[in-house]
Amino acid sequence: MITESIEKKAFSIRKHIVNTVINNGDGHAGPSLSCTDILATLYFGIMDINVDEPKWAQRDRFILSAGHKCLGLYGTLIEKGFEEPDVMETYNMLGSIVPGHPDMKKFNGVDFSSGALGHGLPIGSGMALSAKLKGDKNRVFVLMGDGEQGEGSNWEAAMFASHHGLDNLVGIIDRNGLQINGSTRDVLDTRDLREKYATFGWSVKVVDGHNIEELFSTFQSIPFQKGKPSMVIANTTKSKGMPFAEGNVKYHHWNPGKNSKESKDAIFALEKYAKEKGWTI
Amino acid sequence: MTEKKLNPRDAFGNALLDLGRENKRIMAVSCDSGAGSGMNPFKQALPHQYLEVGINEQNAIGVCAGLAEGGFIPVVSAIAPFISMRAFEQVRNDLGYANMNVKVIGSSSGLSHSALGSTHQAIEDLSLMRVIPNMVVLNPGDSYEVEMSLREAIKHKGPVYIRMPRHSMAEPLEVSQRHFKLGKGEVLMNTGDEIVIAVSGTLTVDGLMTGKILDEMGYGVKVLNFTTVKPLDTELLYEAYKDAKYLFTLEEHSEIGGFGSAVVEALGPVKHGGPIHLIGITDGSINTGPYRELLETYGLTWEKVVDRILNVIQK
Repeated sequence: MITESIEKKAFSIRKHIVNTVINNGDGHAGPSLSCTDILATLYFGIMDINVDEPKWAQRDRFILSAGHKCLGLYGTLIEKGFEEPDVMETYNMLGSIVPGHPDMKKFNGVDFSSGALGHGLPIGSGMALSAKLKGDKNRVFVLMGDGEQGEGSNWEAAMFASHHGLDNLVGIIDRNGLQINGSTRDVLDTRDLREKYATFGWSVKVVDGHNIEELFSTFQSIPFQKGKPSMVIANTTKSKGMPFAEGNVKYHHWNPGKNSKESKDAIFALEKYAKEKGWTI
Repeated sequence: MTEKKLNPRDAFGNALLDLGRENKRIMAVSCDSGAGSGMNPFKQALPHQYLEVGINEQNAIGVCAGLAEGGFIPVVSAIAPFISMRAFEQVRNDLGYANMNVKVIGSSSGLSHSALGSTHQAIEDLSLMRVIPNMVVLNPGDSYEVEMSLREAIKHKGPVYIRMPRHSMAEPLEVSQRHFKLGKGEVLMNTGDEIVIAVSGTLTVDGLMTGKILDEMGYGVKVLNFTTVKPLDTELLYEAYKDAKYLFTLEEHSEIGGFGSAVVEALGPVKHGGPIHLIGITDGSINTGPYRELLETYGLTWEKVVDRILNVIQK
């Protein structure tokens, strides 16, 4: 079953995230853990890319617009084989190729640098238009946060993408309901994103962002409507996989320190999960 | 000096059309600004290479970055303050740091929209654009420089900002006497080492007129013109400066951070040479009115510049 192999990859990506933060200090663990199942589904079930030729012109593109979730992307690209796992040992170190936001000039497989929110959808729209103009069949995936929807540039791009009928463009919102300062409901309400994007001319589906089977079948049905860009709103749990931190806003950043109780709890939770699945780790 | 030449907008539009016919990867990108930027002939002749984005400069820069990633060469134009300031972070991150092959055209720059007020004037754009990594910054002052700037920008692989003038300008020399090269300045006049006037952009003719008057008054004068603000032709600058008693920079831009600042940064470590005076727009100037009258109010027309220089050197 492809969904089980994707699930295993999602688990491996979670390990990269948790271990990196435990061993190397402060990182955006919570936001990275909420999008892990989405990343695994895209890279191990959906996207057409070539590890031996990272810049292959016809490849599907992925932009992590919410660049702070980069630990998830690094883990994914390592699992895919773009870089060796030991690069994560340099996280937070001088000259690292795995900085706190992804840099396309440093890490193979990163399709565009990101970090400032609200940049990904415009860039992805340009990439999608470029493919259309050239008659290429590749698709462009842009992963955003729900808090990120406060950036006006997203809505500029939303208008542009539907105006130009970019049905090779796929937006994904990792809707974990939290941002640094609290819940999105309190900070800037994002409950009606489905209606907003539909009004902006997108075809929208809302899915369980931790249900691999549902994610897989949803992405397989792209474009949802010919002539319209597709938006996947994935309901997720921040810090998914660390029970003590799940849905807790204070784990946007996490820096437990080696051998701390939280680091042991996180490792224990990962081991328990694998054991229940019958996987060896 | 020549008579007033082709409108810079038409010079830009004609050159863009030529280039677009030669190179199908060139995309003219309008932010509801194509007509005002001179792109209409391009739009009519090459509609498949023309993209209307609408009034959304942040998105427009991102779209251009994406198009460039796919191998296109977007030439995106909007009124200078909007494209350089509203979309600054996109230009910095998605074009500069990412080193994307996009040409950003700040149209009607400086005080071009003199009557429309500070929202439409761009007297800070050189300062903003030249601090961006990988960004080449061009400041053409006349139609010849506009055309050559665009042609050289397309040859250059990487992001380029072209600060476009709006008004038809006389040219300091006949075109046959000019040798435009990206990254190089040119000597417009050389009668001695006493006063060096380094000018960039729309005030080139005022700079040359100033030089001629000072020369007639008996001063030895060099007038240098720099269309490229970044990378600056430091070699030419140093050669002219090392024996000079005074150096004056002249530009239609804030005195903070523009061409004059670039000159001071370049010459700061040089041991020889006299004091450097920046002549530009004083911080906080927010006047409006007809273009030449506003330049005069700010002390940037040649008559005023002569007085400003004499006030310094006759003290």
